[in-house]
Amino acid sequence: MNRLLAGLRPEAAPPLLRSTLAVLLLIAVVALFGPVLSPNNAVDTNFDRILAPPSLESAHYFGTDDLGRDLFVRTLEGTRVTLLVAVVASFVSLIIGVSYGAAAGFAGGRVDAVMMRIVDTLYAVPFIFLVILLMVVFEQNFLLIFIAIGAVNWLDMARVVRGQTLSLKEREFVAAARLIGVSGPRLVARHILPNMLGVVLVYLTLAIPQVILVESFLSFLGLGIQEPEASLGTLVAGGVSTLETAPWVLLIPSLTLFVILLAFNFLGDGLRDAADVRGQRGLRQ
Amino acid sequence: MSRLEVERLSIRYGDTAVVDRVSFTVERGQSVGLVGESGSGKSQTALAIMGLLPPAASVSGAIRYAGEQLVGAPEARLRKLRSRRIAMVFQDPTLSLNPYLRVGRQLAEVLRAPGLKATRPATGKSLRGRIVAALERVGLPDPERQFTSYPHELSGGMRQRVMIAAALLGKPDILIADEPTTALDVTVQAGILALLDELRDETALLLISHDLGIIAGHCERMLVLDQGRLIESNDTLAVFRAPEQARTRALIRAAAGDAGSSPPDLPAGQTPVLQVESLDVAYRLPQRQTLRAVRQLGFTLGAGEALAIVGESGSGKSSLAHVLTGLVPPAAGTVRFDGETLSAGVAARTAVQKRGIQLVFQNPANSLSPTFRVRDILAEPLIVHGIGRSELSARIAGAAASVGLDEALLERHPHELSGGQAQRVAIARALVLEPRVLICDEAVAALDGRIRNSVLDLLRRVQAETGLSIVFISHDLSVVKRIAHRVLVMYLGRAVETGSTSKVFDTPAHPYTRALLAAVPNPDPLDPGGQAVLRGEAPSVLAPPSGCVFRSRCGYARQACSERVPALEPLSPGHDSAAACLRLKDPELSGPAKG
Repeated sequence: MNRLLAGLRPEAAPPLLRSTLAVLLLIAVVALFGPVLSPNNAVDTNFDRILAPPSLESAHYFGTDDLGRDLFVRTLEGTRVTLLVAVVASFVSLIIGVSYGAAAGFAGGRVDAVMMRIVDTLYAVPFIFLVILLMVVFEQNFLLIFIAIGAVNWLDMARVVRGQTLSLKEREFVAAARLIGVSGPRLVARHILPNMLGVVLVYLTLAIPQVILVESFLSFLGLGIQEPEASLGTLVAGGVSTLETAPWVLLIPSLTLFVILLAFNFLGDGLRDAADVRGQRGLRQ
Repeated sequence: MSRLEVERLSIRYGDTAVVDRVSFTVERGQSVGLVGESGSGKSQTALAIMGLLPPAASVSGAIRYAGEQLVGAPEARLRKLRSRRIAMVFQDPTLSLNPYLRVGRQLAEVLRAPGLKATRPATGKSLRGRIVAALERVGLPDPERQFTSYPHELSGGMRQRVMIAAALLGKPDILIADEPTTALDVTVQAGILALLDELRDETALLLISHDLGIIAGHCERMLVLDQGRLIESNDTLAVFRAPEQARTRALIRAAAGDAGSSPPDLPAGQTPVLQVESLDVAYRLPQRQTLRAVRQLGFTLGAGEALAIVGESGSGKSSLAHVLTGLVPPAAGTVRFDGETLSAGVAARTAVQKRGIQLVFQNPANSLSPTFRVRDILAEPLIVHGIGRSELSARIAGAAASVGLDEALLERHPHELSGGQAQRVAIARALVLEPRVLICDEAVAALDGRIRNSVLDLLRRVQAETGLSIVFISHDLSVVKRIAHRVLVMYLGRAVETGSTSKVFDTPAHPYTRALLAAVPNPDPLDPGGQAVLRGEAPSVLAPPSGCVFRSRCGYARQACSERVPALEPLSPGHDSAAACLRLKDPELSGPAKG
């Protein structure tokens, strides 16, 4: 892994990048272990305490929703689901996108042309309608959401990786590797892919907020995560109806979503700066 | 009295001092050379004078122009001084010119800049007139037409002339030229240096170069920088005659080449290892154009022999290297290795053939995989060919030792190595497969003098020990002399002369070979060389002249030269030297052309 990260310079990471990483880690840890701090759980309804405002005494730190469920636990679990969807879907798009893009770029010529026209065609499919169709035809489940989101997100990744591969394979060190007898998959895996790691990582972090937004959007429409499970998207959707009487039901999950999205965007920008070696050189030649 | 004084100038980045208490002066009308190896702080000094250092640099000391302190002066003041008092020409004119602006408009910006000596900003006709005059002054052919050209329509040498014209437009007192010819061919370099000489009545010159030969021929005073310190400052003649510092002596020695530096003796009764016959290399370009990079090239390389392929950019040298190694397929002709015809692509060659021909690229920073450690770089060829699995680490250590690499360096990444160390790694990677033929494509061009010599020594030693055959591709004749048994001179894809190194260097037959030899700057102030013998620059490979490709720049060109392509013919019977020039066959044509 150390070798893979040689393109990046973690030791030179700017403070913003470090604090962003800290915030994201904190959110993940709280989402995982936070519910333990509360005597409540996510599914129990309490009709005596419908839309209770946040308070420490009642142990409903974030208040309750219109069914009297504890918002603190629901928000944390929603965060967990949202992060899970984001990470898994991004990972799916990473795997598909990198292999497809690297294959197209390395093969070049006609193979590349055909493979990229397929990508162009998929781009033209109206994504939201496709997902809605999938959701309606098949049973709604987690897996389907991963597939639906990942299936669209890999297109961008494939384009980025293909472009990188095309330029990297013309580099001298790749020619040098060919001359000592390296070819095919070994050439791609050892000489081409590691050199685009920085770019791919940056792209991945910038793709995660996109995935989160899509998931939230689907959930908001009622097509994503289903009750009693919650994601930040469903929580926001649920909060809209009580906006006037209990604004915290909308505001708390919205704010959480906002912070996560902001953190991922900062992370992407920070990584991009860290990967840009030229930007770090104080000396001009 | 407008002179430039630099006093105890230091430039630091964090804790690293790149320039350390440097003091010198440039008097009016003087030409001062600033010489040193890469990283010695030459360019940093120049940028400090121009006030162009990045914000991360902390500058102390004084830079005074006409008594005015420039260190710490407000940007607005510096902007006024730049170009009208002190102007600068950079190394690569391609990077210095805005590709979207026509030459005329680009130069007009200089004249429109505030604070020029001409008090009123120039406009319209007078502006055009002044720019055309400036272009004419720097020897740009057809300046009226070039006024409306884009930079990409000009050749490298013409672009650098445009940059010099831009610098002169502000009528500066001092012109700083930072490696102004390093990106140019040697025959073009001679022309640019001659131009800088001519400009001496107009402006003082601070010429920065790593090449002592250039400084020797064009500067009356010279300053030697070493690791940020000024170690020598004197008249050029005095420095060359009696250098005070050991480091200066080493620099001069490195530039001149060691005395005992000739290729190892050829083993008797050589067998041919590589045979190239009527080779053509062509690249297909957009719009149905074909670039014919190599035409009808043939040569034989014997076991243990070092053959130098010499030529300027566009001569087809690198294309040849790529065909020999199988990176590019030839358009026609054959390459035989040990008597067997080689497949066009490297993938189709047998393992023995792949191992047998190895290539060392010009720049190790580009040819070593950046994510690999040196150990993995050296291990990979062995692993791929399934050699020495049991004694892998012993073999790697042996390969490192054979090129004089410290074992501690094995754990480093390429970017943690110096240029010389990295090139040693590249050579070790090529040699670890025990090839029969090593092709060096400008393998020492990116290295400083001292390191260049040690790499050459290394190649010579390996050749003497193992009987390796070397194809040494270079534009640098002084290097070639030290390593090659035979030389093949190329021009626009064709071989124009071939012969033993001593024959070609001592009695060159082809006019191009002669011009090439004359253009090499000699690190000797009394016999500086570096004469501009050739007119203009090499024509585009896409549109070579009919008949003899060299005729457009040849002083002897006649009508007959445009009608026939001269063949490479032996200079004297039974001799292996040959040249392609009609004049040599036909005494009628000898003697310089009239007009």
